Amino acid sequence: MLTSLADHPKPSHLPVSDVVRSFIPDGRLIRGRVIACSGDAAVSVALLVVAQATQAGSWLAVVGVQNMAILAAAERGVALERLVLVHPPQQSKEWSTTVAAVVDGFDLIIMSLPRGVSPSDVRRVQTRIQARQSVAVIINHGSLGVMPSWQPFQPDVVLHTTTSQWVGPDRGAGFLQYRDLRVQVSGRRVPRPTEHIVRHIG
Amino acid sequence: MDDECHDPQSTSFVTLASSSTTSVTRVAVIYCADWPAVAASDSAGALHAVIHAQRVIACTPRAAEAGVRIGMRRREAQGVCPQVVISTHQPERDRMLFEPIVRAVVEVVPLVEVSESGVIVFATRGPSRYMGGDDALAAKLYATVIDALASVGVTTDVRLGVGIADGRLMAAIAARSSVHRGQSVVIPVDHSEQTLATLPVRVLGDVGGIQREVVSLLERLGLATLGAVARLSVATLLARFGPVGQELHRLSRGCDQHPPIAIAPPPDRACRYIFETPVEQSAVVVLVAHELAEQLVQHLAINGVMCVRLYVCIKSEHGERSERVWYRVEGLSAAAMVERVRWQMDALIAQNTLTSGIVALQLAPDQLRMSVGKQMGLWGGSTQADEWAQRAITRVSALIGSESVVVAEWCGGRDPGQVFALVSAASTDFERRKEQVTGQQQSWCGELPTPTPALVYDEPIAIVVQDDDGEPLLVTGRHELSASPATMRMASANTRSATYLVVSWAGPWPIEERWWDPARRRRLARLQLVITRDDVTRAVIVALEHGQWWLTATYA
Repeated sequence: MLTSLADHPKPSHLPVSDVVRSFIPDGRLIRGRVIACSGDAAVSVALLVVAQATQAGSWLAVVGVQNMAILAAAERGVALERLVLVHPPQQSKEWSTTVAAVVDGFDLIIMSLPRGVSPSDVRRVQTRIQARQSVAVIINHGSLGVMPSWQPFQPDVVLHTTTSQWVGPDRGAGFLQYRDLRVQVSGRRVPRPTEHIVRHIG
Repeated sequence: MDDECHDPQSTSFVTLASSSTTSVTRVAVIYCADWPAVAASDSAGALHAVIHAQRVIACTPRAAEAGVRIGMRRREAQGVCPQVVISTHQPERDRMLFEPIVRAVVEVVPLVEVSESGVIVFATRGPSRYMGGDDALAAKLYATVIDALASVGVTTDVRLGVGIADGRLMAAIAARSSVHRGQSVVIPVDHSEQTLATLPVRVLGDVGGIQREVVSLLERLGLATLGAVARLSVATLLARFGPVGQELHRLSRGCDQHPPIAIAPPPDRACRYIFETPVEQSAVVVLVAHELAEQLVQHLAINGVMCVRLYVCIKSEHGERSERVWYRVEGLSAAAMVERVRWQMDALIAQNTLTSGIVALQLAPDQLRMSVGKQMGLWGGSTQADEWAQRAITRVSALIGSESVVVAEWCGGRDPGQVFALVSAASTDFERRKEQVTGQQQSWCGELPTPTPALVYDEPIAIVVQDDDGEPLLVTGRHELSASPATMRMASANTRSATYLVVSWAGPWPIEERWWDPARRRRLARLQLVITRDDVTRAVIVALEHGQWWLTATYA
């Protein structure tokens, strides 16, 4: 018992907000896992998943995600004082070295994979994530229907989002307020894929 | 091997301890006014101002003539002088441009201290004796710096000042008055206190680093001059102002802000590292510096002191050596020490005279102050996670370059992409992060309503927005749409197949910025569109500028 405590000094999971708890498997963010986000609201949901944990003191690195708006991260509850953006090199080898160094220091990593990253480099990163007990969220906001861009990764949880409707604008009047999102949860740690309807702001 | 290295521990620790109360070191200050503006502007007579945290921190002489003042808000500055070119504060650039000047001064005086870009400080005892007096030294320095400025091609009219006096404060004031006189100012030995006594207390805020509120309170209490403050007993000042009282007492008498302290020298392992094989990468030296600094700060913390002046010596295998003293009045944290070592390494490399690898690195605390401590969070201010993350930031910055590891700093704006600026994480003080990101968040007139889109494109994508009749959608001068938007497609896509149908829309939100300046005025209208194609619904923000629609952001 004592040895097992010493081996895992960190708590085994990170906190999540109530909205995320409603659809994430096990109702919490388990360390060492790789979560993949895809679909219409991939970036937004990725930020939402990690927001509560950053407020509780975990650091978040956003690696290679182009054009992400910092203001959007702030609105979804990310503690900006613990947010660092990293632009890694695009070559597979250098990319994996950089990401491995980031994983060493950060509890939370949101990343997009560069094109043509090799499976062996990805495995190296994934092993590091498990060894360091971090949580990685991989964003695939590219076009649908093609091969998912987290391909070499083996995501434990896949959150696929589809917008059913936007509420707010009305032919020139009003403004975008929220949307109804369908979140399909699958992945190798999810025995039975489930589907949830979430009212999502942003 | 580095026995010939200047060892401040053995000298200054003893001298400072014995002379803590009476004598004050004689100090020379070289001061280039508004250095950030000089570094930012590219031509002589430019109208330039540098902004940090929404306030002007430096401006060129011509901008000052036009009415721009330090401390103005961006809007005010643009109001009094619409042609002013505003640039953001880039300490890295200021430092790199200042480096040749420092190098030129080092030719004359071997050991100098660069507390900030644009200011060089050193003790005059040795150099002055060598040059034959303070006046000769001041004249020599003035000429040297003018030559150095000319040789680096800083064509703007730099306002330079050289001042020599007893104590840091008086020397800094002398340097500033030298800027206005156009020649060096030397206050004779033992005259500093009398000269100080006649000065208004305002200089404490401008030069001495005392908070404006305290200075204002002094004025309201009827203590108009430093002499009046100096006549009060230290007990009275302490009773009225708390810890700041002691600083006031010392500063008003021309002493340094904090009383010097002597402790047993730190263990050798905490201040010296000898590389077994010469090292060629700057990153390795920085990593070692990190280790040394951590141990050094820990040792100092055990004794309840912190380092305000740090001596750094880097030696190469062939005996080339870079010595520099770094000063920060609030004390140097381990991260700050590492940053200084990195600056010094950069300078050494930029010098291009290094012929061999680095073999030794030495850090020595040169001046200490009592650690007043700060209020930490209930369970300690920084956690293990903070430490790990900061270590990873250092590592990754060294790996892929510090410009690729960035953090956000609030600066405000109407476009969601403008609200935060990105600054290098390596040069960020994480102890003060909270204020940087949340300091003055306030809503801007003309902002888009929340929620903010998650993706904001750095380079907007050209699109075509049409109404029901296939005519391009327009916005009138009164910010009204010419018709209802019906379709949207990428300008690059030529076929109808890539056309999105507009389900609904909101807006327009117009922006009219800087209409008074023909070169930089901006007029655009933004719309929120909900679009659909192949059963996929998306919300986007599009903007019309100069007759062209742009896709600026996506709710992703």
